[in-house]
Amino acid sequence: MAHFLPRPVPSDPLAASDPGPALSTHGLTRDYGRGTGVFDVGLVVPRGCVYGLVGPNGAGKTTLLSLINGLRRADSGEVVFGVPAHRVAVCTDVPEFEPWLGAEEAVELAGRLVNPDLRPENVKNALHRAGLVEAADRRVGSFSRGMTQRLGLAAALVGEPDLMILDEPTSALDPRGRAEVLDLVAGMRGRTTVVFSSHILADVQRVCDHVGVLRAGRLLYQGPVAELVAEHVRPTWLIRLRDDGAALCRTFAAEDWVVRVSSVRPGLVRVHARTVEDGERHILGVLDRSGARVISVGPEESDLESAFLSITGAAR
Amino acid sequence: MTSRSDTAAADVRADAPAVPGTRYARTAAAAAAVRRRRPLGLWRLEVLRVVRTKRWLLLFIAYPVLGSAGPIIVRHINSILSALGADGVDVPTDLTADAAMTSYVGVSGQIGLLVALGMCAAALAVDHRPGLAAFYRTRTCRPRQLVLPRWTVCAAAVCLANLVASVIVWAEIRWLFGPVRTDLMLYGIFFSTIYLLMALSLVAGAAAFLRRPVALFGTALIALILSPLPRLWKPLRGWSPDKLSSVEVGLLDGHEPGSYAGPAAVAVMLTGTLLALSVWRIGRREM
Repeated sequence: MAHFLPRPVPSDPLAASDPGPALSTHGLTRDYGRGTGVFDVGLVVPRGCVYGLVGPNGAGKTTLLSLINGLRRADSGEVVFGVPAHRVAVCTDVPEFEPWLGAEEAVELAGRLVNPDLRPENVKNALHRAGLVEAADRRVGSFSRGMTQRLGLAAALVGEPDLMILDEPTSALDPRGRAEVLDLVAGMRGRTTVVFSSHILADVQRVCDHVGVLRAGRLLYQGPVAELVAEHVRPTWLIRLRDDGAALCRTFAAEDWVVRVSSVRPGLVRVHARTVEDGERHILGVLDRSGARVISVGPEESDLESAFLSITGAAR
Repeated sequence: MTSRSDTAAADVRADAPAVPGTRYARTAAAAAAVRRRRPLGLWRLEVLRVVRTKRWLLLFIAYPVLGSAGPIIVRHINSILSALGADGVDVPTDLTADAAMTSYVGVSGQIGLLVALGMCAAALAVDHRPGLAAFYRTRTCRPRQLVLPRWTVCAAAVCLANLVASVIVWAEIRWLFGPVRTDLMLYGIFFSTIYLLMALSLVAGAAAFLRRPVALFGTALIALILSPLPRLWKPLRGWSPDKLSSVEVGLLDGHEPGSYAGPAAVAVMLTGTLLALSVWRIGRREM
């Protein structure tokens, strides 16, 4: 890690029984003026989790990660690492390498800078995990952006870090490459703590177990992804029927707890209740009374995107 | 870099008995060389920067190649001009060793200095490319790791090129114009090396405040051009390090080596100060 700027505070190594979070920030603030920057961010990244940092463009994700990895200075607040500083690896959104180095050399250099006793197997293993074994001898200058991004991952992996900070690691990858990188990140869960910033919410939902939502430099939410999604379940149910559902629509429309009812397509009815509780309490009774031939009934699935929109929209 | 297939082949051969003079011995030696391959750290990286970007070639052309041509051209200028059919050009007939040295300092020395400044500026533009800056800054512990290997390896390459060129030029002068004192040659190389180090430290000083290689080069060049200005103030006249820029000519003209001690001391102090400033400022700089 860069130690040139005020050095992040290491946690007490004696507190081994409760190692605490792998990374936390307290009141981290960097004000660029005119409302830009990050403000009073208190990030808590549990050890071993994959933590997704999401937010719209300009929310302050990259600024926050730069403050954490020491590339920028905070106006106030502190960053506390729960792992040794040399066990933290960073992969920026646009990684760059000396174009006249071979890929293997670039990874070796990255590894030796953090661990002078690096073994050659670590380099080969990192290249293998990033899917760059075939290109190990190629000069970095001939790499595409996607390959350079993979090389950035290999350079981060080679030191076998305890904490990886990845800024938009899939932004330049094709769908297959993206899937591979997401699998790679998901596979680290439990062994390596990963902080993963992205604006692709489907990626975050797929690999992250914790999420932090940033908007306008402020942390609006952080916690388990599943809890966030559950908290933002909409009071909407989808009912699949044998018939076209027109009669059932009329039945539901007569109920005072129903806000809206619509036919998505023949045989599929969406019921929007006033509250989740109202829906859960009354839907089955209405179906029973209607005599409709029901194939299935269930809540319309919420996802991170709807939760994110709900959170960031509420903050407007 | 050795390819994996080469390495594998070498490893296989290395197991065979090494008989001197046989193919097996050569491949075993290659295998041993592979095993002994020096790890890639910041210092070796800078050596590779000089070698792989072909910057050494520019230095080689600017110093030894152009430098060695100077005394020969001066010695045979009349023959060259007559061969070219240049009539009416008034060339002195009594050209001596100091004229040959002036041609080296004035042509090869100046071109070499420009190449050296450019090379150093390219190496010391640590934060010019944000991704690369992040790569180094998040993996190094101390700011001096960012500055000193870059400056030192670059300066060593420039000084080596100057040394080789100076030795060649002194040998040519001795051959073409007669004997010259060896101690003057050694003093000349010593003081010109100090001047080069000071010039390169100006680039480091510029890197403390600027990021782009062109800006570093331009700032250092302007500083060098303006470096004689302190001479306008009489108390500083004997201490101005720009006096070292033509030290070899001055020594052949009869100046005492001791008269360059003051400027050399100032140059050394300036070099140390600018390097320290560069390390301090680059360490504090934000991306």
